[in-house]
Amino acid sequence: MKLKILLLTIISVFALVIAAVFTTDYYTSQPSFCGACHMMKKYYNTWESGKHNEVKCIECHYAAPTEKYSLGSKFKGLGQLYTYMSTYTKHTTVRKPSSVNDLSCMTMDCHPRAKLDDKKYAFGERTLFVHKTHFENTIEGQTLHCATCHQHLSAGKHLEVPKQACFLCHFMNTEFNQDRAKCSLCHTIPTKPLQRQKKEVKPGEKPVTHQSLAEAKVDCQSCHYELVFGNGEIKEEECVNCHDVPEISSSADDMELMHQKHVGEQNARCFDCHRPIRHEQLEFLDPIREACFICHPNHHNNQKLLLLGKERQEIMNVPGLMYDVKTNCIGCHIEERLIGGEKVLHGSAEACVACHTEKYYGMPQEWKNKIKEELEYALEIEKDAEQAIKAAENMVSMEKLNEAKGMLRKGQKYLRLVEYGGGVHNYKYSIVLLDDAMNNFEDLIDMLKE
Amino acid sequence: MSNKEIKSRRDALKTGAAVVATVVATAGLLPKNALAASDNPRWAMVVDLRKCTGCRACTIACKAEYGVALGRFNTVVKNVEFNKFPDTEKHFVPRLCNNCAGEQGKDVPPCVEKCPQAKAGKRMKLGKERYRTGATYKRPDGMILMDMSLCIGCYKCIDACPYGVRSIDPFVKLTLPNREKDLGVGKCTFCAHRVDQGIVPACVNTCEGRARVFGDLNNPDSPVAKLDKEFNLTGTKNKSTMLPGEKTDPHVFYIDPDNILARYKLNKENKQQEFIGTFE
Repeated sequence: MKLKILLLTIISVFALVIAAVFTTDYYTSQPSFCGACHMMKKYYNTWESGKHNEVKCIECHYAAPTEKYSLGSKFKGLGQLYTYMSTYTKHTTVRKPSSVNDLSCMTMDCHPRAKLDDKKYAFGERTLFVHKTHFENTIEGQTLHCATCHQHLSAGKHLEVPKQACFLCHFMNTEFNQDRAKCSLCHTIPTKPLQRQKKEVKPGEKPVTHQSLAEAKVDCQSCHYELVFGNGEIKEEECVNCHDVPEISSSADDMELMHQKHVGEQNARCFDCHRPIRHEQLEFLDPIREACFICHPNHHNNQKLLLLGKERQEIMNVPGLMYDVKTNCIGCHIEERLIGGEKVLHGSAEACVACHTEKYYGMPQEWKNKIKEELEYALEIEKDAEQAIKAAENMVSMEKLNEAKGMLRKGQKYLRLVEYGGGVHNYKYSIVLLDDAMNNFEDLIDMLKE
Repeated sequence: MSNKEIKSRRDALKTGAAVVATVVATAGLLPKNALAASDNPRWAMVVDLRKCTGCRACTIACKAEYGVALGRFNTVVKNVEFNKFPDTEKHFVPRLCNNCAGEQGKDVPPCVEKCPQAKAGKRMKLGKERYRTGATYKRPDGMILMDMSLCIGCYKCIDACPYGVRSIDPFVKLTLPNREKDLGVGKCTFCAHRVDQGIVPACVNTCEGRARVFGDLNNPDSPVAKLDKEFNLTGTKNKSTMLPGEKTDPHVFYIDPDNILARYKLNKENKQQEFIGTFE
């Protein structure tokens, strides 16, 4: 009898223990459980709304393949929690970011290598991407993992390839359009015609296209320049994010070793250490201004605003006449004059005639004269408006006076833009701005008179 | 009418007074509620496609009024045919400058937007609204007018107009220096000179079937506003105006129960052909 009870107890305890183990294993495998200890709310949210939300955390995130699904790794986690809670001053170990092993991505059920290798992906408008070359031809010392490019950077995406990741490897320590920075590696040549105004092609004529230029072996950089910004230098101040030692070890200059240690072993992301490199077509006016930015921040801004001719309140969008063909400052400022011993580039009508016909020679001067005339008139009305406000100071209600002052300020804003920006940079836009300024001044005078 | 150039601040104020006086004085076409708000009239035309008989008296009246050059037209009546025998349909579609208001929010029609000289003229005042003339400009009462003395002959407006209304006018020579050899641009002007005097445009005056109706949309008593109310023209612009997809907001409305406009294929490739040759 006693033996029976003992046996029953043992069996039931055994069953309970097994049940408990399975329940624990099941419960701790749930993605919602991970957040109990890990600081991962942001990542959890992006995972939940992303494409991978049916794949559990532990199916991808594990330290070594042997630890996948193992109960032991969970107890290891408990150990980590203890270490985290009990030590708060010096961390002797290096803090590692969460990682995803390549094997967990490239299982037969998910993204097998064979399927990935040769498939072409359209990335942006004219950029094609193939995985194979990235697995095989990497930079010396660099090992590319899935997570090297498929990073988690911006909010809302759990596994996204930020373009900066491409730019960093392709442009760091390279010459423009050389080696791995060659335009044709990623971009296909556009088929858009270059002569937009040419509507009919007569027999015997050969219109200029990107294709015809490529055939004639014209370099891309003859037209497309200033496309890469920044050099992807190391953010040395960020080392301490993972390492508690403030000194930088002498081996930090060894690129191969650093990549092997950080990217190969730890799955570090590019921008944990590097500053991003920008690769974009800037506004065509900025590259020419950028050279002086260090000493003169945002110089010639009024001129730029006039040339762009952006839409404003009650003012229509009027880009400069040469906006479409991206003629920047030095397109027209070709005449060198000496001012105070310094060479200064002045705008010249020669520039107009060089591309257009002789009859446009006088046009810039005509514009200048007209704008000068209008500007003088506008300044006169501005004075009238200021006087009207002064005269009405104690005569009208505070509200009305404030409204009038607001109108004055609005008018002055546009007036100053044309005055300091040189209206000739965008004749039509300048007149539109001046008109609006004058309307404001006149309206406020009328309003105060009433 | 009340259209005065602003020369100085004092003149501007005087103009304001003159406007009120003229508005009161001119009866007939002018809006009765012009005094109530700052509003200027908004001239518009309604073309009743049911009534057009294709007599083309409008085309001739326009030619007589303006002395339009041979081979050019400011207004035409298109013969439009659909289907195959025996189910054929034939309609007449009078066409003229739509005097577009321009896309909402922008309020600039494409021709004025593209004109580099659109603001080259003088500041003027109409009613309480100030505007500036130019080679092509929009007057506050909605008319799209031209001042050929300011035109530089770039012909961007001809390209910009989706309707093919504008064409090179062999009778007009440009006057700006260095451009004397170039020809000007011609188009329908809504007969601004007649309307300013208080009478309707020549084509409307001559239209036998009363298919063309002209008036002020802002004045509820005008024939145009009455037709608008009856047929809800401004409410159904997608149906009552030409090429609504271009978002130009035309102010020539068509009363079109047979859905002719929707079926009418405008020759977009060669849009100027639309206004050349009345008989096809």
